[in-house]
Amino acid sequence: MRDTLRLLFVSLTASCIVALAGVGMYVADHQIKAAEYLKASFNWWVGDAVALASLTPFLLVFVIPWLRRFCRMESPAAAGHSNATFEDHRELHPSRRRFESFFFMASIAVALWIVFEGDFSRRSELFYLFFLPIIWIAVRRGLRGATAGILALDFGIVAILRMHPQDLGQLAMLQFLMLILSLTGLVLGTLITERDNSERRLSEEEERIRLLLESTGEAIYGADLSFSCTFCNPAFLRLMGYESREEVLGKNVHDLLHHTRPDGRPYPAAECPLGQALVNGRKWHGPEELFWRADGSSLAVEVLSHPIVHEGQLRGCVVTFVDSTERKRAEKALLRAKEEAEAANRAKSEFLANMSHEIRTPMNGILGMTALALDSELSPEQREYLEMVKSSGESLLTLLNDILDLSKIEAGKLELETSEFSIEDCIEEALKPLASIAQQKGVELVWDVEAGVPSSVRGDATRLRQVLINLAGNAIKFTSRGEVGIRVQCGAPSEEKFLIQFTVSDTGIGISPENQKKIFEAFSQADMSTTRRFGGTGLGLSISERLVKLMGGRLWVESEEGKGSSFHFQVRLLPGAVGQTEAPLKLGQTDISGRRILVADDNETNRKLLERLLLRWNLIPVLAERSAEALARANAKEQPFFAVLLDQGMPGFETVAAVETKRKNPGAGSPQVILMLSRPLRMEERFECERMGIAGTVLKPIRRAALLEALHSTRGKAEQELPREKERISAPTGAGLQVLVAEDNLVNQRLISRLLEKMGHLVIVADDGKAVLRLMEEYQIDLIAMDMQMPNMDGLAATRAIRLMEKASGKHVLIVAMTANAFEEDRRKCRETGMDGFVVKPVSAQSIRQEIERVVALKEAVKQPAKNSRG
Amino acid sequence: MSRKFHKILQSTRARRLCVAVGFVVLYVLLDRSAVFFQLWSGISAWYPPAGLNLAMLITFGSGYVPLVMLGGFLSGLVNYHQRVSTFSFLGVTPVVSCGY
Repeated sequence: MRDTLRLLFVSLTASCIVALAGVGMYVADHQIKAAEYLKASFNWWVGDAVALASLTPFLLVFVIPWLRRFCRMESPAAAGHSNATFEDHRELHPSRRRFESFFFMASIAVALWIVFEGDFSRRSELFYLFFLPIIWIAVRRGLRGATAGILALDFGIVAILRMHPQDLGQLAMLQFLMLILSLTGLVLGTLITERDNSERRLSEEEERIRLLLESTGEAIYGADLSFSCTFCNPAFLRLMGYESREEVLGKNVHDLLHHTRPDGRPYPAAECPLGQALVNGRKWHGPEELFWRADGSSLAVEVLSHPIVHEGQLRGCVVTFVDSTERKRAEKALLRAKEEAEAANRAKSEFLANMSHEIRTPMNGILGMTALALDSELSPEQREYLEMVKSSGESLLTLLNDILDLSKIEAGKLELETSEFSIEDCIEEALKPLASIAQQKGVELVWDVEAGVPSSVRGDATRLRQVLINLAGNAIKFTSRGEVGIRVQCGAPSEEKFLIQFTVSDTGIGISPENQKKIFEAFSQADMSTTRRFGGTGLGLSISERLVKLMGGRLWVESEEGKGSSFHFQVRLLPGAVGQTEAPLKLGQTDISGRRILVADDNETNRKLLERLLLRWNLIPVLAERSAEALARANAKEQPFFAVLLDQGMPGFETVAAVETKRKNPGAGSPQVILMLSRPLRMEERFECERMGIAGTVLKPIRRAALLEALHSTRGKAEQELPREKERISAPTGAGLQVLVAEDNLVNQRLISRLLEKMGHLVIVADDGKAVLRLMEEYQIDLIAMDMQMPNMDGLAATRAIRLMEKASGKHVLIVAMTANAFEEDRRKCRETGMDGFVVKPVSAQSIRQEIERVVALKEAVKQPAKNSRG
Repeated sequence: MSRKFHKILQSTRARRLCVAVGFVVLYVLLDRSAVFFQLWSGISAWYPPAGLNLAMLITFGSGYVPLVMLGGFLSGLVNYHQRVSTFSFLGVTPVVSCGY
């Protein structure tokens, strides 16, 4: 309708303007008098308007679509314009359609004959007859029929006028009649077509809804305000056991479906939540309702009710429901499966814990006894065999630890600890066990921490060290020459955390791009030949990646085959107390501050590290990359060097060493030459160094404590400080503590006792917790090495009893757990019970010594402030 | 001949040319039919070319304006025998073409 009206308005306005302008031209030509201008314009406009209202719609409906196709133009529908206004959707048989069309034409002909047959004075009274066929056609055929009818009628009038010419007055009247007829037919036809289209759309919509209701598996019914059923779908009949809609329609739905409670008591309609939701006009969801079928059986359903509101008035509700029996069954099965899975997971964790304990106990015996045997007098052949046993045992232990770690991470049981530590300490600790392997292979091990990295952070130092050991260990394994380096840099802090990036790079064999994706999978190495050639289980990287993820970062690799690899990882760490870890390493009041130190090393990372460390200790580093450069700097007429840190691996280092050890600086003596070694010196090399006058040596990777010690040792005055530090560290082991070993396993009793005796302690042995309590009354015990699992009374119970006794006496016996239970929760339990230390089996002399040193130092530290406070 | 004509009609441009020629011819013929119902000199009680113009301009756009003008000039010459130097010949046709 809108399109038709727009067309008429635009075209009639345009024709009006054209008529006014056109007649103006005729007036200018004196063909029409100026006085008749308006009348002539009106006749022009009406003449054009008749054609626009009759011929244009006809052409647009019947001819133009064909012309468009002929000219291969895009159809209006495809171009986004709707042509629905012109379409006739009535379904009529073609013969009937033709028959009807014939009658339309006949009616027009009859009307024309009746009107034009008689005298014109009577004709004007009969003009209304023309409206009858036009209205009839428009009603029957809509816009399409109306346009054809209008054109036929207009052409009929024109043809008759041609055959029987009329005077100008009659012609003008007929012209106006044709316009009115055309407009009437057009508007009526449009209205009828629009109504037809609306009906058709409504019918299609109803059909879609009917199909939806018929095909859905959900039962649906409608109810009016009295809760009587107004409609229902086949799924409703099927689920509720009714045969036809007639059994349900008009009946109260509550009485049909919801009349009884699950316990068998009647369900009053007033209490029915569905009915209440209907009355209140709100949605309602009942996940677990019970409906009753036609045969009296019950059905568990999930119900959803939705109110029907029309023009703001509540009319009823639509209720949908589904059979929830299957869903309930599935939920129960899922719950059962979850419980079973949790039980299986618990069993797996217990199994892992037991396995860990059971494997570690004999491993402790094997490794410890092998270590003791290696300390005794042996033939070379026996020593070789025992070293192989020790090496195999250690490999087995590493594998066991890796598998346990992976299991814990996968089970989500790995908990990170948070404690304050220094990143530099962590790197040094990580490189310590790798140094000897790198030295044996002749691979230089270097590290550096960039400026901006906080000296003290809070996080899990143990796990960070584990990742560094894994990556650096791998790097050393796959590198036969060159260097392996660890570099650390710091990103911008976010959410009060530092994003620290570590890079472990090597100059090894590298990894091909296709293998770079595989290496992070558990038990996967670059290829099988790698496993055969270099050994390993392929667990290290997988564990490292997961640990890094746990620490809020990621791990990735950049590598080029034959050139080396760089493993990068980022971790998020909390800021620690500033400068806390710096204190023990400072030179303090020694008089070497402000002295110049010549650093001659061809490795840039080492030079950078040494520069940073020396500056931190108030020394002035002067860097040289080559021997010649070092000599040139030493010869320069500046302040003489206090010491020369000389890299043994640098070409021409002997020359520098020879020149510098003989140099006599006026008033300052010879500079002290300290060699930085990539491997320990052989005996003859040591003699050669002494002969040359080398003041000291430092093994790479450079450790700050070792470097500081070497610098101190070059100056007699500074020597006083260092022994004090040594004394503090070695005092506990040398003091000869009275140690009680609580252990039920005979092999382990023997092993731990022997290790402690070798450290100079006095040892008493107890088989279980009860024996511990008894022996404590008889002897003055300084420290107890306590096994956790023992018969009669286990380690935890014994510790609790001891701590209870101590409340009365005020004493504190040091207790160190020595157990094969390696899980974090075991460590936590020990701490909570009151134990001071924790050593995981298999124990080694080093691990026992370190832990005893730690707990003794801790006890001393606690005592000291207490003394001070007493004054 | 028929085959050759059919082959020419395969081209879209040829088809559009046919439609354009047909339009001009139909325009002149419809204008001729209106000559018999003149109420004033050059003003007819029924002027079907106006309906044809509008339908073609709606369909083919303003590109048909020159054809409408051509049809108008031809009709003026053929149906009304107008002199070329008059306002009604030179002015009316462009006004009609541009008006629609």
